Amino acid sequence: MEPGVVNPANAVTLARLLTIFPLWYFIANDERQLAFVVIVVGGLMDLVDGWVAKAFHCQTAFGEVFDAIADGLLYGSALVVLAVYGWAPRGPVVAIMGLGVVNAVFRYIYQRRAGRTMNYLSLAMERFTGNLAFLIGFAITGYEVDFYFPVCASLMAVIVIHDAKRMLVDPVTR
Amino acid sequence: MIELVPHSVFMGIATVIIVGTCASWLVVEYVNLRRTLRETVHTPERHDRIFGSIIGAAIMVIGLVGVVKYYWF
Repeated sequence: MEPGVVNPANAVTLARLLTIFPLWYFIANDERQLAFVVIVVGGLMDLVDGWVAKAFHCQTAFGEVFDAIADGLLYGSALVVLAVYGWAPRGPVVAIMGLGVVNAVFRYIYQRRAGRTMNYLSLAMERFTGNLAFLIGFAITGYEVDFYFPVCASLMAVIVIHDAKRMLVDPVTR
Repeated sequence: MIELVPHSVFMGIATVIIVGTCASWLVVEYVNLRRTLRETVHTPERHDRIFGSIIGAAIMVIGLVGVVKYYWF
């Protein structure tokens, strides 16, 4: 029997989602150290929810989607807030967000092409999404942001081009 | 502004997190890459795993280069 929507793993994901508000508040009030603690806690919870899902045998399709939505909302909004308050360079942040939208469109097209709910599993993009927590940490600490952000935006462009070929040109794998 | 620790300690903690994560993850990606390259059947999934490992390793190398830049340049 498939576990329900209310399970320990989704509770951890929800708790992670709720770190958005203190993170925004601390960034807006120039509280770098407190914002850093919040993003580290959020990153650890991202690891923990996967372990909890396995340990409590509550891996569900909803949980996977919820986790992806939590990632997008937490990291996406944090990047925007950081750029708005001048903690992160705006150009690369706009590029990263734009590439994220382009990638989402390609994934939608792939899903239509494949004719199924299962989407293309991009291991490279998964790694890059994890890296977003790092980028946010760099921006919060003021750690070489003018180096990390443009380089990572370029790397994301490479991933999107690669994944576009896999999703839009290559034959659909079953 | 609330300071939990002095600024130099704060940056030191950030450096330890970056170096620790990047170095250990780089080893994981290297092992994954070697294992995948040993597979003889060339499938699109194998290609995706290789590309994923290369990107993962690149991210970690970028992280370490940033630390070098911060302290020496």
